[in-house]
Amino acid sequence: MDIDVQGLTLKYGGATAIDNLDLSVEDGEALVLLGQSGCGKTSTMRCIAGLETPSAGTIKIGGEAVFDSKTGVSKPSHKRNIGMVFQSYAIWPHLSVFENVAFPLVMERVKKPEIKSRVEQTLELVGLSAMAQRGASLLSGGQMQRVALARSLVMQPSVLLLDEPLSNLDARLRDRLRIELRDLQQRLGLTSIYVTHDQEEALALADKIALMQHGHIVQIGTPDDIYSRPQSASIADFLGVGNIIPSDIVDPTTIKIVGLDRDVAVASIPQVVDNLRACVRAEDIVLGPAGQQGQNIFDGKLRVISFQGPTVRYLVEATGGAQFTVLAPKVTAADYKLHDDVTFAITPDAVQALPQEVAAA
Amino acid sequence: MTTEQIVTAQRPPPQKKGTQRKSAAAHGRGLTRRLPLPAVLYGILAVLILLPIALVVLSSLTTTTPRPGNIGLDGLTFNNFLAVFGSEGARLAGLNSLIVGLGSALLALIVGGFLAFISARTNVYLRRFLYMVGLIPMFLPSYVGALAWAILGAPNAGLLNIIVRDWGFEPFIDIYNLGGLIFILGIYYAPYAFLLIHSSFSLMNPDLEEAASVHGASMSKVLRKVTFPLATPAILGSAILIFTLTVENFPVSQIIGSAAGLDTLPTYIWRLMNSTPSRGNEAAAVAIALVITVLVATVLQRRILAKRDFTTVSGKGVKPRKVALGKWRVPALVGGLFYFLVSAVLPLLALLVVALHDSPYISTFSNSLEPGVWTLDAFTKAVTSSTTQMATANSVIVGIATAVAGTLLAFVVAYVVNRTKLPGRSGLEYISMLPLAVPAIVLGLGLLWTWLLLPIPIYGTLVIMVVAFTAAQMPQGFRGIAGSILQVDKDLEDSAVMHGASRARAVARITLPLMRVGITSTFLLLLMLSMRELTVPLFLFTSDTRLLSIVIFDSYENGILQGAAATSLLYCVVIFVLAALAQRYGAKERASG
Repeated sequence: MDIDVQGLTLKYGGATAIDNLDLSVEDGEALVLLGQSGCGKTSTMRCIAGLETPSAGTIKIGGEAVFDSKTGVSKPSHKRNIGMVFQSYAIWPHLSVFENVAFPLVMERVKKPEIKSRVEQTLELVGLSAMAQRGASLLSGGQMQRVALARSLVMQPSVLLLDEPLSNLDARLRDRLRIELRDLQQRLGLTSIYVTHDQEEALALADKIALMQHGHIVQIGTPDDIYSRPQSASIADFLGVGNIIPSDIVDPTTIKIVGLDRDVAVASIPQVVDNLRACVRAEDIVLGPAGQQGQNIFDGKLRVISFQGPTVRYLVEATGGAQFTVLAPKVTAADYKLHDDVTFAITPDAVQALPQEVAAA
Repeated sequence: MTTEQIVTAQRPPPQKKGTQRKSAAAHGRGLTRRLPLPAVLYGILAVLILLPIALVVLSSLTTTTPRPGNIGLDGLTFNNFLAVFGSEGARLAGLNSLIVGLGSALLALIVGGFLAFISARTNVYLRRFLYMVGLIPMFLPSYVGALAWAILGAPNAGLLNIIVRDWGFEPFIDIYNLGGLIFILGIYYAPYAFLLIHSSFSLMNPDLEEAASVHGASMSKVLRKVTFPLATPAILGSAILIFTLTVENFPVSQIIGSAAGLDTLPTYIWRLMNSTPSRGNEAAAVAIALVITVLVATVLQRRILAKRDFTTVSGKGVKPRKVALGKWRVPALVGGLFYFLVSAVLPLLALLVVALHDSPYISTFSNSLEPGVWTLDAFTKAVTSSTTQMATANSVIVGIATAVAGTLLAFVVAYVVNRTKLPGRSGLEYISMLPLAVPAIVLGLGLLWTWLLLPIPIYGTLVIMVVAFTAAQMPQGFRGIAGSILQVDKDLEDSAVMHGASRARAVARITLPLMRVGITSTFLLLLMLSMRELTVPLFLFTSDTRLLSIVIFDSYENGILQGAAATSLLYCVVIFVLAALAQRYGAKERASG
């Protein structure tokens, strides 16, 4: 079901965790709340879940208000029909896998035979049929994750909330479960909200990403939007853009990057800007041998070479002193040695001239 | 089910109109429910804990003790303090209390620290046994120890003196003086120092010591420069804790001191209350002085212990390094065994001897082998007397009722403090912990006045005992339950709520079962503490509501030594069983946590 949040505000004592936040999620959509710890993303999710009581605002699920500070409506969590996968999974260690998954149905007073069949079907869906009778405290992290998911799916929730669902797993398992989770969510057409601080996870899971900073949503859009067009340097930094360097506007198509001896041609420049930053992804810079010339080609020296498997990471110091991180395919490694003089090229549309911060989106 | 089926099943039927209204009403109820729970808890804790303390303060500043229809602020005066501290007796009692507190804290520290060090960090013989030796005296109530030592070390009739006289030597021991008092309190409070210092030594991160050796320190240098400095907070903290416990200890001072004509502050309060006419206002003034002493020490202790975590950062399951004792291996063992002898073996033997001897007055052991000298008569008589049986029944009833009520109250308070955002919750924690800083004899005094004053007629019944014990043991109950709640991840309960359980059901189905071990061990701890408590009920019992501890104390005070010894033995058995139960559940908790 669709979710509509208006003017959500949450205060703890004097501190404001969420500041007048608006958000809407369409039916069947997967929204990811992305941001650093303390940005208010988990608080937002917990307000929707009903585990926190907002100071102000309205929350509607499927058109019905579950919270409204004006009319005093506040549905308790257990009546909102929201499934939730906790970051810690919150698998009850004193119950078996079956009992964990059956819990929501027992609470609904569903009849025993139906409980049995629904739990079995759901366990099959997450690939845990063989584990039903196992004690929940004996499971591995990945299995607990699946139990937590099954427990929420079995209740056929209006909305599924997932708090950092993959952060406690090791890297390889994380990759696999990410695909499975995306597949499941798309197949079931389940309205979902994820919370994560991992941009890669956000890009992989989302139909729509809402980027949060300091209790605000600062940018909202499709994964491609967010990845290609961050609205500010601090968002770009968070999204892993490797080079963020103070700059000044020269003219509408040119900026001066501090520490670079020549001006840089760029595709576009924002209107009014203090604190302008040039943001360039490390993989968008092309390394070349010394002596090359042309627009946006600069001279530099290799300061650090670090092999990373499929890629090599170089630290290049430009003649003017600015330092750039460059990510290049590993085949380039044969061409360069430490302290070599090199050139590096940045195409104008690879440079994004952005303000340091933006206000709420 | 295919995925398509799940998709269709995924959508619950649209909710009926009217639910919104209903939830608004529910919310309204929620709001009215929000205030009362903390208010009710404040009310309960105020009557249990704050009112007794307030009444002691009030009567220390007025000329009449609180009685119905006779309470107020008229006659406000400092004369009680002037009268009391102008008198030689109170000043001397205060001085004695300080000497006893400092002396026994020092002795306990030496004994406990020594045992902790050899059992935690050396290759001493019988290391695990010595660990038990450090703990065992904790399960012997200090007044039973004092009683046993009064039997062992009385200047002429003491059993140790009789033995040496049998061998033709002069009596060599006299327990009835300040030194004896310090000795007994020191050995029976040493386990507190032992426990704190032992855990500090065994949780210490070995990396810190290994780093010192790598950087060139010898073993003894490592001990002096790293190990002991790291244990300093535990050492200082336990010293202060023991100081507060011994300063407020009433029964040992009474048993040993009364024969020697020595008063400490608690016995002085007792005597003021028992004089005719009773001098309650002066007793209250002395009580305030005692509270202040303990309060100052408690504040100091909190400050020092607050730093403890920082020094004993541990990796779990690390094995601390062991010091090879070399030629000191045997002397260290002998030292440990000597403590075992004086703290447990000799006292229990003494109780046995007195309880099983045919005559209550033993003057020689030279006839020990004659028939008829040893008999179960006195023991049977004491154990089967109606007084003992009623007291046993009373103790069990009060113990179990207190454990139930105390655990329940502690759970509700600890839940509100740790799991909710209800207004005023942190104040509840402070009040719950307050009795730690109030000596038992003062609390007993306050409880007496409280329940004489309140129009609820429970004075003279067992109910007042339950109320009093629940108040006195609130800190232990709260700490036990709160620790256990904090071990259960809050997500586990929230998760149940998200999956359709109401909050109350989530607590019942998830939180309580997961806390089973913590709740059981808190229950047993409260039961054990209630079984052994002597000081709090001293002002509250009547002839129908005597407890085992009171019977022992009374028998001794009235010179019925055999009865006191026999009842003490019976009592030790009960306490050991409870302790073993508590230990078992406590150990389980550590294993699973």
